Amino acid sequence: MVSDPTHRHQSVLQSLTQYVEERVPLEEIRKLAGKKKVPAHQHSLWYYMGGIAGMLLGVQIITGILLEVYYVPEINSAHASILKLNSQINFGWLVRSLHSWGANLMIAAVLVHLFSAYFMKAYRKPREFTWWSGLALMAISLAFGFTGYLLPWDEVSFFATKIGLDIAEKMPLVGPVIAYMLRGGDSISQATISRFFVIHIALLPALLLALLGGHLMLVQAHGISEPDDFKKLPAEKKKYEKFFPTFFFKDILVWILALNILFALSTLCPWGIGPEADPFAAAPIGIKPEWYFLAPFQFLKLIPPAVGPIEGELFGILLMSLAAFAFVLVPLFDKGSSNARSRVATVFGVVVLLALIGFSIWGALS
Amino acid sequence: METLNLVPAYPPLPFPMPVWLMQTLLILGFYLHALPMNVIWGGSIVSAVLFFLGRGNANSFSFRSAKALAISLPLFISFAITQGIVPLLFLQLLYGPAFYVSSILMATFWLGLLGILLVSYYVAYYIIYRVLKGEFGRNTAVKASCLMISIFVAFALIASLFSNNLTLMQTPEKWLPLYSSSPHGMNLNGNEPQLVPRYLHFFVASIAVAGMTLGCFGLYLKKRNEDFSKWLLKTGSRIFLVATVLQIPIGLWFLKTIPAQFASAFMGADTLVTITFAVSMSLMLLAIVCTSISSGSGGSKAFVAGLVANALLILAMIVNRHQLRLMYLNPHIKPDLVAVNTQWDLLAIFLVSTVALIFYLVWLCRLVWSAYHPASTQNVASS
Amino acid sequence: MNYPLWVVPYLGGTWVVGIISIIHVYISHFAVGGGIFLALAEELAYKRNDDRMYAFLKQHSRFFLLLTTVAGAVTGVGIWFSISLVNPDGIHSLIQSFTLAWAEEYLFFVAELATAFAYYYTWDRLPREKHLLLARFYAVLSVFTLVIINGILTFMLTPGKWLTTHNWMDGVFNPTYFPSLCIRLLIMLAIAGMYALITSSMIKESKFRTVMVRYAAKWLLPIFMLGPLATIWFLTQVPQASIDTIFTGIQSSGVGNFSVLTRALYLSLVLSGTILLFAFFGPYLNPKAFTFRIAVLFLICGLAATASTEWMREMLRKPYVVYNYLYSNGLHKADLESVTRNGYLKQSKWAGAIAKECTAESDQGEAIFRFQCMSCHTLDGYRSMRRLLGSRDEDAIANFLNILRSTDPKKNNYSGIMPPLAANDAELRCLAKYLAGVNAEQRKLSEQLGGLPLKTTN
Repeated sequence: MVSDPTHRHQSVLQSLTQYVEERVPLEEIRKLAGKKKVPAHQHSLWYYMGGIAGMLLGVQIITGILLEVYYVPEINSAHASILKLNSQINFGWLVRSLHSWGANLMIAAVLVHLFSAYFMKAYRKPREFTWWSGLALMAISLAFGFTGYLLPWDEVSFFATKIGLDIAEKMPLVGPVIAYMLRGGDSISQATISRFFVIHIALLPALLLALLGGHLMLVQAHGISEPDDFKKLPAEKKKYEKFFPTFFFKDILVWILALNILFALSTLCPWGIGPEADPFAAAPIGIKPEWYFLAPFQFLKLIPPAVGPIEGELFGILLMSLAAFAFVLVPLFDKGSSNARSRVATVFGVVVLLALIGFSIWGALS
Repeated sequence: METLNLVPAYPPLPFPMPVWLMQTLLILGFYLHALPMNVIWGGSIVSAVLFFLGRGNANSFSFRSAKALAISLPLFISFAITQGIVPLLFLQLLYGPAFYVSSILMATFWLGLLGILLVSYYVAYYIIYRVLKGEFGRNTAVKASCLMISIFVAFALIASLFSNNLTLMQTPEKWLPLYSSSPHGMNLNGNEPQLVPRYLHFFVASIAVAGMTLGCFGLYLKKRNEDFSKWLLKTGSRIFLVATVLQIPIGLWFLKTIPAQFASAFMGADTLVTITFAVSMSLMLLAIVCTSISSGSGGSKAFVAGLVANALLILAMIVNRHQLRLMYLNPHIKPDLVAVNTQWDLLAIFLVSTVALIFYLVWLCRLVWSAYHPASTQNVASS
Repeated sequence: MNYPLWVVPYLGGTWVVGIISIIHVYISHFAVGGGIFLALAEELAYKRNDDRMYAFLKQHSRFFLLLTTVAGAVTGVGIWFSISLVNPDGIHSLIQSFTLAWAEEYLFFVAELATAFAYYYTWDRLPREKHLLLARFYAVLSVFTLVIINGILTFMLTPGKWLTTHNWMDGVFNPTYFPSLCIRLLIMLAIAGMYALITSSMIKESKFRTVMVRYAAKWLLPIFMLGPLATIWFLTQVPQASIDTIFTGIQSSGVGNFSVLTRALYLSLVLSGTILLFAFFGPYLNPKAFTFRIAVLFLICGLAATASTEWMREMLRKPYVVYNYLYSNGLHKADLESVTRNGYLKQSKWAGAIAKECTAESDQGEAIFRFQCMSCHTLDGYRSMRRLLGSRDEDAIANFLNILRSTDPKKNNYSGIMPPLAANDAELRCLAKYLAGVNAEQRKLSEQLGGLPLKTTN
């Protein structure tokens, strides 16, 4: 009598499992998960970064959907709707702060992920496509940041967007066209809000999810990349952790930590909102873009008005584009067969990283 | 008149017990705090010297006695901190209006004192678990000696901060100028004429107490290691003797630096103060006589007599110290004027708990003793 | 308001107390919870006759002793020292009301410490059942230290009937006494588990490490089950005004000034909640992969949770030190009216003495600011006055101060979080003049930019 209910309970669970397994290839997924393993070495820490970025993306999707419920993409209501969200909607301030802080943390995590992959030479054969998709994902993340920043329509966001688009306009040939299309005219207006809104909530998410799917599929197909030092080890010295459950549960711990940081930032420094944007007012003194655009911004400020025959800003943009393009080409340059080329790639990465950090700090302080 | 106004008022609440009882508890509490405190301060420098003298040989009496002091040091620090609760509590209750102000005037240093305490407390454990553990090496004793000196310096600083605060609280006329010069709690009472002799008076006393502590180790080892025990009794007595004789000129200097009307209280103007002072002087003479006997012979009976005389001497001196404080504070602070509403119920609970605690501690000591002397417990059990 | 005020630039006196307290709470809760842990774990080792566990406990108890008797004791004295410096009026009232409770607490400290030393120094020297007895004695004695201090801590938030009777029993056994005791005991068990995870993660042998890591993780279960209930019980006993402040904050956290309490509450809930998730996914489900590094991260999480919880508890009590009795700037509630009528500088000895030394009105205002506001605000750091003033001009500041003077919550939105301003009209003008000098630069800047100085605002 006593064992009866538990027995029945088990059989219900069993039949349910059976029902699902007949229709979903659970067994194969389980096998895949069982096969997957993560190299354990002193640089294992960096393997967590992609996961953090992914988790934060989840936070962005959820909070983004919630924000869409209240946000009005209309020039006279946008600012008011955010103000209402911050001051009248229960937990509105929290959702918005999570979204804003989450965006910053996510971009930071993607950046760290990108550079750690770069320095561990994870772009080499056969992972070129993983690397390129990753670069595209970085670009999309930045585009998210740029488009999302305008939407609250306050003074700072308006002028930061204006300056950003003005810089984009300087690009040869395509610049003016792109800037015009993004603005929906010659100046930032209702059309700009509408365009940025659609790009931010429809276009970019679709692109991002598709690319991310491909990125993850490739990671799954090739397994986790191993750094050179680890590869050289004799087989018996190579230590691996099972992805499931060992690494996965550790991943969760790291996510919890990242979530804690996000919550602490959101509650201790909730995201405020400045006065409503006034397109006809003069730009406030010392306006700066978000931190992830600070380095290029500061770099452009330093370049003299004209470098030889070329206009200064254009020269700067070309220079930075070249550096970015080098990141695209690096898998073709450093294939792992030449030590000298590998070293060149590493040195180049260090220089770019230091420049990014240096210019960002300089920009923040000036 | 201006200074009078600056002494804050007591809170509008009654005292929970009579003033005389609180004063008694303050004196007794400080007594129990002062004993371990002196052992730490004097013990650290005595131990440093002994470590250095015994640096060549792990079996030398110097090294062994230094090690014994080092091992007991954290226990004494713990006692000193815990026993500090009582005097601090009653000092704040009775003379808080003066004590809080002087603490605030030197707030930054006053809090910094605890940082120094924390670090030196850990250094004391570091000596035990990292330096003295394991093989006796060439540098073991020298390292221990250096670390002991750092502990000594730390406690010397702590003591000087206490001297500063407890003298500053007695002189309200200095408060406003100090506060005007720095509201950030960066003041000290350096220009107080009493400060240096008072500080030296306490420092030399702590050396004397450290000597007594060595002698006590000798008493403890009497049955097991007669040679070492004799050496400890002799050395301890000598340290005590030298320090106490040194104390006489320092004490006279101290007496000279306090205002004449207060000093005269010790010389007959106030009967009670004079009697206490006379008792402490005779106890000092007694202690000197006893320890000069034991410093020659290493005899335990003379030492025990000296130890008891010294213990009473410290108590008498603490009473004198309290009387001096009252003379200073009398025009400014009058705890007698605060209403008293004795909490008899709690007082009864407190007394019962105190008795229970004493019984518990005795039981605990016997238990620990039995753990370290398995043979002797059987004797105790059979007798 | 009786005492000189210790000016701590940027940090403010409150954070001096706060930092020391948070560290102390984290260690002292371990001292109690860890005592219970040692007693129960040693009982387990005794029953199983498990030598590995005995060896582990011996190791763990050294860590315990070195942390609690040293850093725990010194930071404990540190709280007392720092409160004496930052809020002497408050501490004096507390020790005068509960002198004998403090004295009783001291007796338990002595017993607790003596037992801790006896326990630690008799490993392998006493028969095992006697040693276990010592562990149990320690656990009981350390709980009693909490039983007393908890009365005094909760008294400050909910003095209850003490306000009329001034009887120590009413003060100690106040409305939040028992819920708070429950919460603290639960937290102590959790913290004991977290510290045990640190020492467990260092065990060399992997099988035994797995066992101990899992065992230690289970100590977080009680708070997981009972914590929410105890918290709700606690909140039902908290003064209605504080609860109102929480609910005002739920809506206006993004813009209002009232929301700090609410946000601290969320942070505390989220951090505590994630600790349990952490314990579940980390040491419990995945004990094999639990490393020292993760244990340290975990401990840091715990510290953050403790800090935010204690911060929230402190904030609940605003604007009082002893609720409805003594304001956080040392002003007795009963004296407020007479001080406002006769002038603050006349009744506050030190502020008056400082003001007497100067003649300029703004300097007199500085004296009022220092003695009435700086117990919570700093000029440029925590709750920075320069930032909070924005670009208000002297008239706007005076209007604002006038609002702060009201004790009517309908007229003064800040009455739930700030003590009312105690100043007569002339003093209010001095204070406004001084504050207008504090933010003069910002005002100039905003005028240059074409913005109008804010005229009226609350």
